[in-house]
Amino acid sequence: MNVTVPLVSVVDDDESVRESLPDLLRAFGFSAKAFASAEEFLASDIVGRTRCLILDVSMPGMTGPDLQRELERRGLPIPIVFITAHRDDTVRPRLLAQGAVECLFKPFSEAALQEAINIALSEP
Amino acid sequence: MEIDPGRVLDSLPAMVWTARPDGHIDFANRRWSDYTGLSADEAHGWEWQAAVNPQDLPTVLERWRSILASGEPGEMEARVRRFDGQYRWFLVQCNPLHGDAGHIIKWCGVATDVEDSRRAEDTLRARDVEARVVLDNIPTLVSLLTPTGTPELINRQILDYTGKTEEDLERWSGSDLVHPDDRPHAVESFKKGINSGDPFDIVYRMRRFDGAYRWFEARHRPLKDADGRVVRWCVSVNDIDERKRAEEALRESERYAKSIVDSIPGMIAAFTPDGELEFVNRQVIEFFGKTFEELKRWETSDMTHPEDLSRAVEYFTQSIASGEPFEDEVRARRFDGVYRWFQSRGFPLRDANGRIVRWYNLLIDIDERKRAEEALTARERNLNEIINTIPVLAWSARPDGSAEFFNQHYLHYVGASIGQSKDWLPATALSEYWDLTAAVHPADVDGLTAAWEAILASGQSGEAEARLRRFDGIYRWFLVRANPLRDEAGNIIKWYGVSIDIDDRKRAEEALRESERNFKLIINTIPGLVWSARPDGSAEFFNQHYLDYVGLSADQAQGWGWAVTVHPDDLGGLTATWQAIMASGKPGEAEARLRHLDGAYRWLLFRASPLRDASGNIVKWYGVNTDIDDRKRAEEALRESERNLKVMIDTIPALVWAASPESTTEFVSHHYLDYLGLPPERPQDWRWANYVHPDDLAGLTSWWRAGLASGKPGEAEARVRRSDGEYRWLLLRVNPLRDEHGNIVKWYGVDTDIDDRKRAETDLAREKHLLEMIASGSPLRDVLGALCEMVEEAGPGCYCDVHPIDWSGPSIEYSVAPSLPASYTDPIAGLSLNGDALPCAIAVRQKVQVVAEDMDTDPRWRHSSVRTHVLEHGLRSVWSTPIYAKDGRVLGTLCLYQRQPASPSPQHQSLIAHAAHLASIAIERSRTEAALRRSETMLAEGQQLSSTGSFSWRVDTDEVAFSEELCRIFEFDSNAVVTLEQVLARVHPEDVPLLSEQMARVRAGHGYLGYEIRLRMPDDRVKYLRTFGRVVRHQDGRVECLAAVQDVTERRVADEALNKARSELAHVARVTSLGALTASIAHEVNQPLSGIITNASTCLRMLAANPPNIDVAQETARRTIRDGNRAADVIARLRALFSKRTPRIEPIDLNEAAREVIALFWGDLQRSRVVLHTELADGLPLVGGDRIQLQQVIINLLRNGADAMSGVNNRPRRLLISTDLDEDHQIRLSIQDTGIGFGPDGIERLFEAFYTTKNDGMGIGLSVSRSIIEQHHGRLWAVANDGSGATFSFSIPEYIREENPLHETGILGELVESKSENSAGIS
Repeated sequence: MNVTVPLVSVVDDDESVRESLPDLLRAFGFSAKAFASAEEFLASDIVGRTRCLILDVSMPGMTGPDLQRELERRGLPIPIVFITAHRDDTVRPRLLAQGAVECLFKPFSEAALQEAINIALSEP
Repeated sequence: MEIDPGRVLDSLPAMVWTARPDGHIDFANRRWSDYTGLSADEAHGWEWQAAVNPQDLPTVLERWRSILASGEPGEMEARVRRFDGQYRWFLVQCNPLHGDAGHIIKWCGVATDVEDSRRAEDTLRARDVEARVVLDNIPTLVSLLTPTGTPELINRQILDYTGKTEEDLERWSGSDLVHPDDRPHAVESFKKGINSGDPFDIVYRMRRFDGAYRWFEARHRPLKDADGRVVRWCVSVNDIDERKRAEEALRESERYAKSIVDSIPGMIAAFTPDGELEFVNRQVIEFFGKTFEELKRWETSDMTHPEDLSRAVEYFTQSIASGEPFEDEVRARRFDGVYRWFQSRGFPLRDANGRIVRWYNLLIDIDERKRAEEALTARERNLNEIINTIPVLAWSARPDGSAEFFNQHYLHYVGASIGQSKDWLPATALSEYWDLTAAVHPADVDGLTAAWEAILASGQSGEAEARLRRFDGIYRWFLVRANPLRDEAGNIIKWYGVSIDIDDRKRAEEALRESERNFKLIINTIPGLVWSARPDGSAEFFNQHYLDYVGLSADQAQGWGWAVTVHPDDLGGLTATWQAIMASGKPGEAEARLRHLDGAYRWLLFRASPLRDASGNIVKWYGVNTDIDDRKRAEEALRESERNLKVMIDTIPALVWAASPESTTEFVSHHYLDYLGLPPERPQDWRWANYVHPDDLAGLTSWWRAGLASGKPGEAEARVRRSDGEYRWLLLRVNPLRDEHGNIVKWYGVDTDIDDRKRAETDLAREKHLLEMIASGSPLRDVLGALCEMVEEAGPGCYCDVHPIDWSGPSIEYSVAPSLPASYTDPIAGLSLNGDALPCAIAVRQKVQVVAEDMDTDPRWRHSSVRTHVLEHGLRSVWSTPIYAKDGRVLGTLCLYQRQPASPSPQHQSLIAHAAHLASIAIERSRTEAALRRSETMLAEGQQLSSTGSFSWRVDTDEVAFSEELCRIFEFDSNAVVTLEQVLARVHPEDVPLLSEQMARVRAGHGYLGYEIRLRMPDDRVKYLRTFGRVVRHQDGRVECLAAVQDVTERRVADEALNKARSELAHVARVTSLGALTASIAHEVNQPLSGIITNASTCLRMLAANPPNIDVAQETARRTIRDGNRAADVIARLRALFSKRTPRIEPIDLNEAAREVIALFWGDLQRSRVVLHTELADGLPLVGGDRIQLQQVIINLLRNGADAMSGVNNRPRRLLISTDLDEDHQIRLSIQDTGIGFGPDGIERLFEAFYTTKNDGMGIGLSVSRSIIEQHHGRLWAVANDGSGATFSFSIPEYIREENPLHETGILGELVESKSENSAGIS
């Protein structure tokens, strides 16, 4: 049994998300790390250690789906929970079809987030 | 017992046999059978032969037979076959057995096996052969002797050398082998040696095969056996002849040397290499009178003078040790006790290897010389003493020039000691002849050296001068004299010299030279050319100035060399004058040109004076040359000018004359005579009155009389007939010439042709009249008529006709010819100019002057109707010239007619050109006026049609001129004078400030701004007017404002109706697109909401934890509040955007508006890592506008700037927001970024597209921004920065109360329109 605390990374260009979400994740019992862009995340040294990625859909530069594809290309199948402020019902099925664990619309509840992360972490 | 002799014989261990006397074998013992394996029978008789080796058998048989025959015992050897077939050597011995009778009764034989001994012998023999071969090949003489000395082996070399046999050599002691002189000794030594048994050597001469004897050393060495017995002698004989001979030669030479040594008159001693006396010659013994043994102890004896002994011993010892020769002079004590001087020289004798084998010491008697020297030295010492006392600097030198002696005075003078003067070093330079030359002045060393070497080389007395330094450092001049001292044979043995102080003399000479130099310097400094010459006239000296002047060296100028610088033309005269002066012996002068260094000749006055000696003879001529060039040239110029004056008077194109006081003509210039057509020979025959125009004669005559009477200068005008008969106007000017007493001696007159001027004056007057007519707007026909009259007046006999052209034909419009009848001119009007029928037609179309000298005969118009027309009116020649406009178009033609055939003279052409020009002005002016009138009419019509009036306003006088249409717009009486007051009364009261403002601008020197203004008619109707115009600054400084004014009332009313409609439409459209916008709004709001919820969730968890994490809970709560505010801001901003309201125009401080925006936008900028700088100008005027809209524009520009820098990572992301007042007094706000900028063609496109950033909400498009700014009567633009990025700016006018209202449709209408094109206006 793995006793280390799973690392959940947050990538969102919205600062309030970056400020608030890691605290909540830590309250869940994970260790958490926030990045303002996909590029910043990719450049960090924790890509390989990230067990679950909470990822904003639309960001300047590399978008969430862009990052998802890049991780696939690199052979890093990190479970992804997308979050977005656009409540576009066509977006969610598309992202799930592409392999996302979940797609949460902002604002989302703490329970929804926790459930999504749990699913993500339970994936092989 | 009887013993069988056979058995006895059989038992013998040898083969035994017996034979009968005839040789028949009758018995052989058992040994035979055993050995041979044959039976005894087989040995009997002669059967035994089978056992003998067939090779040996013949010898055996023969021997056996000879033994039998001899009857003597004998033996033989033969090989006998053994039973096994092997042959072995046997010695067979046979003895006869004599019977009692003495005869042989039997032969007994024994055969002994000698095979083994025989074999050993063979081996030995083989060895001997081998040894012999070896010895024979040793390249030396070798022999072996038996112990008794008998030669046993003698090698080939010995045989070869001696040419003798071994037998001969065995008897050597008795032969001639050894030299007879050496033989007894050799034989004796040999015997002795052999007997002794010890090694021994014998030296003797041995005879060679050819009879020559050479020395050999025979070395005998015994070879002994174990018992010490000699078994053999080995002898090697070595050739020592050369050694012996060398030894012999040495002995011989030594003998010889000794005899020589003994016979040498000097004394010789020889020493061993370590210095022991070995030998002395006879002379030594005799001189010293001592024994050899005594002489050996020379070092401690009195043989050497005590004063010299220690030195001699030291020299000798040193040489023995070093191997170097020594030389010394010593006194040796003779047997009689007298010491004599000897030169003692020691030298080593070395062998071939360089080893010293002997020292020789040679003593040569030098006593005589020595004593002579001593005597000389003594004498010299005396001499030196004498010389030292001489009060001059004296010295002596050796024949080689090296210094030997300086007297006391010399040394005292230079302050040196005697010792110094002795230490000379032989060398060639003077400085090394004498160390004292340190005392020679450095400048004189070389000269003195050269002089001294020359003296030495010549061997003759000589002298030189040089400065010598005294002990106190002062140099004085000396004359150095040297004399050689010769011996009897004439060889120089010494130089004696004295140095005599000549300093005073030298100084005197120097002073003299100096004064000469000074004199020369003075002469050279004189700025004149100074020279001297010998009595024969040849030049001796030229001062430097002279030489510099002519550029010659002193040598070049010497004698007659200076003559080359004299001008060739003057040289003869100068030489002659110089000869004359010399002949006279008196001072004299001459003038000649002398060539300056630069090649130019100048006149010089040569002055010469003789210098005479006491007896009055001329010894020298002195001369000074003075430059008189200027004077000469002046003189020459004067002469030249006098000459020129006459030529000039004749040459100048003026009519000059001179008359006596009595009015008699004395002189008439050439030109005047020409003018009058008189021959030049007799001017006096001229009667001027004959040539004056009759009309002018009386006046002129009286004027002349009055002039003569008054004696005052005067002038008059009169016509004088020229040679061609033409009277021309002349201006006559007279001037009296008076003598010193004031009496008139002559009258001078100059008559000037002023005819052209007079004519010009006339022409000018006419022209002036014509131009006045043109300017005053006289009808063209009148003007042209006056022109024709002018032409006709200027050109006598000419008729002038001007034809303006109607180019629509083209045809002649009409004809103006005041001197020609209407019957001539009328038919011309309307004539077509097509075709070549008229001279004018050709002139017009081809733009050439057409000259028909005689219409009657000119073939060009033979068939033209114009010919008849011309001829009918008595005219013959026609000259038609085109009249050009300024732009080159042909306006008409100018025709001149004459009643006789003629072609135009240059005067005519000039007249025609002038007239054509005037005609051009007149016609063009007339046509321009016509066009202007037409254009005025059209303008008036146009103004009326377009409801556009115009006015001019004289800024300085406030005079206002309204166009007709403008009067109509203002509803003024069109004929009344409009005043500014009237205008202001018509302007809508609310717009009066605007008008006043605009007028103030113009008065202040600013440009005219188009503006809109309202009029309020007396019946309260409102008219909207739009004005455009410009300020014209006239050349005289007047400022005039010219403007067009358009009545836009109808359009404005229509616009307002349209705007109202559009506004309504906009609102509808906005509502319908609300759905699309909701999503964007939701996004904007969801962001902060998401933060709020997340933060709140976290906060709860923190508080629920045990213990509660208060710090983080507080932090999250704070963030919740912040995000909540953010959401509220979004809502507020959106509300402003969506409320339907009329934009409120209010005075706004643009800086304040910008600061509010910055505060709102600060967080975004920080998140974008943008550094914002502000440069907001103080004291800016307020602007009028809608605050929210302007702030939207500012936000948009800030966001654009921030976005443009989002990809910038290699430089600071910097935004500069600045405000200032621009050139047009508008308030400008600029936002400068350091972003990616845009391409040159991108600037305008930016404003076309509805520009939003990808992901942000509240920005509005640039096109909307521009619409907003334009609604505010401002403008918005973008420029690329010099560096990176772009600058967006807008400027809007200052707030003026009640300015043009902004219409509520403005920005929002634009926004909605944009929306319909691009739904991403708000994201």
